[in-house]
Amino acid sequence: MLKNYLKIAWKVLGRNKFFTFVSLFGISITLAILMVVATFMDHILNPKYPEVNRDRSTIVRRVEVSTEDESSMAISAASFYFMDRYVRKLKTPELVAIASNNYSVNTFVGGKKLDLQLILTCENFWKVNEFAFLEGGPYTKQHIDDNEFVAVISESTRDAYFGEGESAVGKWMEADKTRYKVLGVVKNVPVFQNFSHSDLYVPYNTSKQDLQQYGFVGDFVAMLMARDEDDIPAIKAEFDDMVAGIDIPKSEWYDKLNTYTDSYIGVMTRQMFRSDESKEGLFYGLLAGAIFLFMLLPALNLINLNSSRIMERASEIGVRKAFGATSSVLTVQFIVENVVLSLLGGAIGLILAWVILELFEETGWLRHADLNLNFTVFVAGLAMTLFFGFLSGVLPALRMSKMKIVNAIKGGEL
Amino acid sequence: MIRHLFKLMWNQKRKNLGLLAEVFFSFLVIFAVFTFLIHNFQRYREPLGFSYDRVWTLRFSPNRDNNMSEEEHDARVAEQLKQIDQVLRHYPEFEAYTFSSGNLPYVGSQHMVGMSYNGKETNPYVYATDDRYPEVMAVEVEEGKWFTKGDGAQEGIVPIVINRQFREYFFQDENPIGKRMSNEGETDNHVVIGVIDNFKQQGEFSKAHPAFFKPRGEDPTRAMLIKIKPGTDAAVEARLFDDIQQVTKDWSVEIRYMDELRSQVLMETWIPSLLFLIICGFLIFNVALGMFGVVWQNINKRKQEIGVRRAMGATKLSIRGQIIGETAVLATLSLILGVFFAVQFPLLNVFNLPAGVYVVAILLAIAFIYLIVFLCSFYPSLLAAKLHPAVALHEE
Repeated sequence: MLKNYLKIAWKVLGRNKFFTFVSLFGISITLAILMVVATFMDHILNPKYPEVNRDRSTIVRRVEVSTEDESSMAISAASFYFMDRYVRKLKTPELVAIASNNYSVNTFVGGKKLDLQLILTCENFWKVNEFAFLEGGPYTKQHIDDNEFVAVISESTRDAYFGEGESAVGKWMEADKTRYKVLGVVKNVPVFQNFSHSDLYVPYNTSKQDLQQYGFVGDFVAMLMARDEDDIPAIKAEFDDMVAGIDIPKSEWYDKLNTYTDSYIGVMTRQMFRSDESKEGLFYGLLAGAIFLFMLLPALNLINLNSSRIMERASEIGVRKAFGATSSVLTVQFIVENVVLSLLGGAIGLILAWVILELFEETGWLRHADLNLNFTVFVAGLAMTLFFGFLSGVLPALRMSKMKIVNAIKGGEL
Repeated sequence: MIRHLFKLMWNQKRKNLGLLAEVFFSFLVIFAVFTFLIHNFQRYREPLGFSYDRVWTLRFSPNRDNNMSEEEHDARVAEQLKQIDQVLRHYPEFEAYTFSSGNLPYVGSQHMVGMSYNGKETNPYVYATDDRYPEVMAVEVEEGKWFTKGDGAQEGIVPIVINRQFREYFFQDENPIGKRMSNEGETDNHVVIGVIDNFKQQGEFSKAHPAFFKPRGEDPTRAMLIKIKPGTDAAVEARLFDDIQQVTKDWSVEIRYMDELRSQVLMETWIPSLLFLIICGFLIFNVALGMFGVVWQNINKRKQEIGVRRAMGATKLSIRGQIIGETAVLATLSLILGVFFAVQFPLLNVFNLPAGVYVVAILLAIAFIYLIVFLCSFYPSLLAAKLHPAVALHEE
């Protein structure tokens, strides 16, 4: 039975090339765009190299200090002082890693300028994030205690500074007029990894600023890794307790401190919607809404096209009905035809999406972005394809299956 | 004739519901695209007010010693800036250079300060710089003059140069030169000495915000702008970097080229805009193809009717007019609904855009829809007109 449907579907495709082209064009580009978006979302939202432990981590990203009447306030990342004195002392997390935001530093090699991103980190940064070392290894607490000027660099930094493929471990490099001994080289980190992408990683003791200075706003972030996901509420609770317990001296200008720790998506949605709590639901809701709106026009288009094409086949439907085919049999047949068409479009869309992503990587707009279509995206794409095929097939099919036999055989009005 | 077409279409409204919905949503998409394009184009057309060509930007982060008070620190930074000034004099590769507050063009940082005059108050951008700024940035003073070297120190009165938006907000038709302004609690301590045109700090696509320039005097500002002579390369940059570090051992210094900063800032507008336009372009193209298919299919179904009309003496032209007219009437029905929704944007002042933008966008979107409708029904109408009555009537 199904084999028959597929045969018919194939024949219908070949009957009117123009209509088949229009349908396939719409379906394939719609799905290609959706798959590209899905790939981006996958890279932005899901834990990836090297932030693989993001699922069981919370993040401290934002500190707000204000006067009592809130007439004046400062919002920023946290100071090293706050991270070192309070956040690192938390008991519930298995590990606390602190790192600065990216600084831009200049260095000159052979008459050329290199613009590098630099972050200051603590030793736990290398345990919370799982970097792939091409050579050498990370720095440890010992290096920091001995105030050593060491660095871990990315593959692209090594290639630009020491020469492509050259070994860098043990050599010295200079950035922003400071000399660092290279301890390790890591695989490039895509720009999507907010808290770990950089060109140069150095221990915080090498900072030119005096990090121990009192104050709550600065430019450090912290990653609090739990033993497992269930501990996250406990970490949040301990963090809030800790913040509530901080006494700000009366002499200070700002006397209120407000900060939180939340999951990666929690932090992102709080900032996006300027809200006091995680808005994950709203975020995904809006995303789904946008996708639905985007699919609406191509789907409507396909429904219209299919509805008017059904007239072409009125006599076929009439004959089949006269010989006893029920409405549901006919409906299924037409949905199968549409799904076949959609799958074909989906396959073309998949290739298109791959081409678009490759082109994106070529442009280098997103540094080190490794935009591969992965299995999740493929499954999502398949689901979208089937949904699309079903959506655009079911309405015309229902309409058609209701045709009166006499009219249908005559090829007349519905 | 048109009434007749409306009647024809109205009678088939259920059958054409899909097409109606499609045109309606297409209209909304096109309306959004045009609003976006017109808005950005208007912004882009306003002059930038400065030149980014061959300009280097330098930003300093001076480290503060723990045992130093704020005043001591500032004094030290100011002293070091003087030394840098001395060093830079000896660079033949530089046309001019100036010290400035950290809110450089194409840099995200914004400095605002409350200013008031005659009961009006707002928070314009403020730039602290020196007498060489107009030369470096190619800023033209339209009225009055820029402040000179000694100006900052005079008897506690700050001479300021304002931009056009600042002037429009506070002075309208008044001559602003010589007017005293108050600044956050201190009365009449600023005097306007010059007026410039636009100054769009955040780049071509940003809104021109009220802004003014004041002499930095001895303040320890954190940035510099250098206009270089053509052909100056990274070797000079490396030397400059070394020379500055000689003076300021514990600072972080960052040198960027302004044209690179500019392309980064522009990319932030260009990339999303291009993606948006490509996606919308695809949607519209898709709809156009679909509509073409539907109209064509309808002709095939109505061969008999067309045959009868031709046999009764209708000309080819009137057949074509009917086909195109019918599709246009259908589009009109959708457009009425679409315009009803689109008009809500200027009425409810959504997104705070000037109403003119929306009105032009609505008109352009309507024209665009009619154009698509015409293109989509043109070829099918040609086919219909070609039908020979004898052939058309014969078909059963």
